[in-house]
Amino acid sequence: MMKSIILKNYLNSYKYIENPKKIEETVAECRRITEERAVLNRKRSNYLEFLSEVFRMNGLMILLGQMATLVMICLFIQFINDYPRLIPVCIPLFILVALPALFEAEISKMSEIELATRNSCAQLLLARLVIIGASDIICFTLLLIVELYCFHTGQGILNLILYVFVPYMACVTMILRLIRSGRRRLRNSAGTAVLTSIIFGMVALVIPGLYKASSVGIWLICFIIFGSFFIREMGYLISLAKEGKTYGFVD
Amino acid sequence: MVLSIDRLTKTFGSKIAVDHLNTEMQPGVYGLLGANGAGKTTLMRMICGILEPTSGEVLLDGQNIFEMGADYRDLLGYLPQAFGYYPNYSATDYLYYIAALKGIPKISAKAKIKKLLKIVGLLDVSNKKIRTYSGGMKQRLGIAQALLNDPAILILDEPTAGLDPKERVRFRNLLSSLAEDRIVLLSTHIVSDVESIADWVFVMKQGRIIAQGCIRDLVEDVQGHVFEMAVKPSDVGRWETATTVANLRREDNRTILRIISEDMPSDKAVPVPATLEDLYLYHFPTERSE
Repeated sequence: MMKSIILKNYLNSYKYIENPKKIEETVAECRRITEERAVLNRKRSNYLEFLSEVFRMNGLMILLGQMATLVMICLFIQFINDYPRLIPVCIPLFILVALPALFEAEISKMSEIELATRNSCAQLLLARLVIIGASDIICFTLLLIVELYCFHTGQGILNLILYVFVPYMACVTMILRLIRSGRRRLRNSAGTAVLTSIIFGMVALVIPGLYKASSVGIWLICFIIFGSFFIREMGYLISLAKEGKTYGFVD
Repeated sequence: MVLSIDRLTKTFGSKIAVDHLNTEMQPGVYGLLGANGAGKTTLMRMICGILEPTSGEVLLDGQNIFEMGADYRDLLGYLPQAFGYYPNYSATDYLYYIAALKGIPKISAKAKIKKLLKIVGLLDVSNKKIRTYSGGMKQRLGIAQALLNDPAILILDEPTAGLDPKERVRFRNLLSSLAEDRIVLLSTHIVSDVESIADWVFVMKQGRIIAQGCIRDLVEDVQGHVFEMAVKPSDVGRWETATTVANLRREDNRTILRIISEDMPSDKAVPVPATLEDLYLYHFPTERSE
């Protein structure tokens, strides 16, 4: 609307049509408005189209990595007596194997190009996290089914769900913070996943009582704490993705 | 369309990469000349919005590019110096992926990708994996991805690196044809690239623009500082140590030196017309452009 007024003002001011500078200015302004319209009228791909393209590029890699981890864990737990204690140790490994897909741009030196495109890095990261998250949900469900129907360890379903989601949310939250603020993101994220796994392994060894059915309250508190950090971090990422802003800069 | 750079500064620790830079760009081809470490890449990254300035801002038609966000990046085509690619993708797959990132629907991307692959001469090998490509082919693919969204602002960091002379000529012609109604900023240390296509040249040194203007005006600044003189072949080393020798050629038993110097280096020296390459060597005496 504003642009049309500017143009009309230009045209109305043509008292001396032979004024070449004025004509040039008008032509330039018309061209600018036309271009602006052309950009505004461009057809855009929707989010599903974008997500499917990201899935085409990263999906198979993520799914295969997660499934391979699931199979290895399922084979490994056959030799462990008190298997539920190992669930929190295994969960960060699912994140660890997804990191090459999450950081594929950095590994292939594509970060600069991806940062400079319309769909921001926040949108791309979110798309990759959606794919990883969907794949994780499938894997975790299978892991819980294996536990419930094959091993009969006597743990309630709530406990098992908490053993999965507490380390998962803790690990993802820390990695998101690292991506947002840090350098050497891949190395630090991998270190975080390994460290989370080690910490939960040590907890399982030092405080075995924490994995009894009666300790569900402590896990619930941890779930609420890590859950709130996780939601806050994801909320920030989603808000940046909506605004089309970048998530971090090049090193 | 006016792209303004307002007191743009970037520091890395105690090192100032870009130092309170001010300039304005309107549609046309702009060359950014400077030695390695002059701050060209840092400047280009900030113009692209992928590197946060320490202070100052980049404005498009008066609007801060960080506030514009996706609307700004929508107008942007960028080829970074270290062009990355996914080695297992074919050129077509790669460009489809970039099209998705640029928000171009698949249906309209198809025709655009085919057209661009033809322009950059990769149509015949478009289904081969990128890892099998030569350096020049990868660079041409990089140029294609930058042009995919028909950008109004095209930022090219060392675009001709790795291209053979024929490809470079083709690229220059392509760029000249694209230049109308766009802001094209290309950084290079290959003076001949800038000389043939840029309307306006920025010379950067230690994070500052030390000279800018159209090539003719810039070259005018070094007129009177370029000399030619004949010396014995055995004296060449001494002159190379004492002065900036832009070029040398053998003629009979003598060597003709092209010397860049503030003052006439010798009574035998004859002033000759300067070129952009001489200007580059005048400002960067330790560098030798390609």
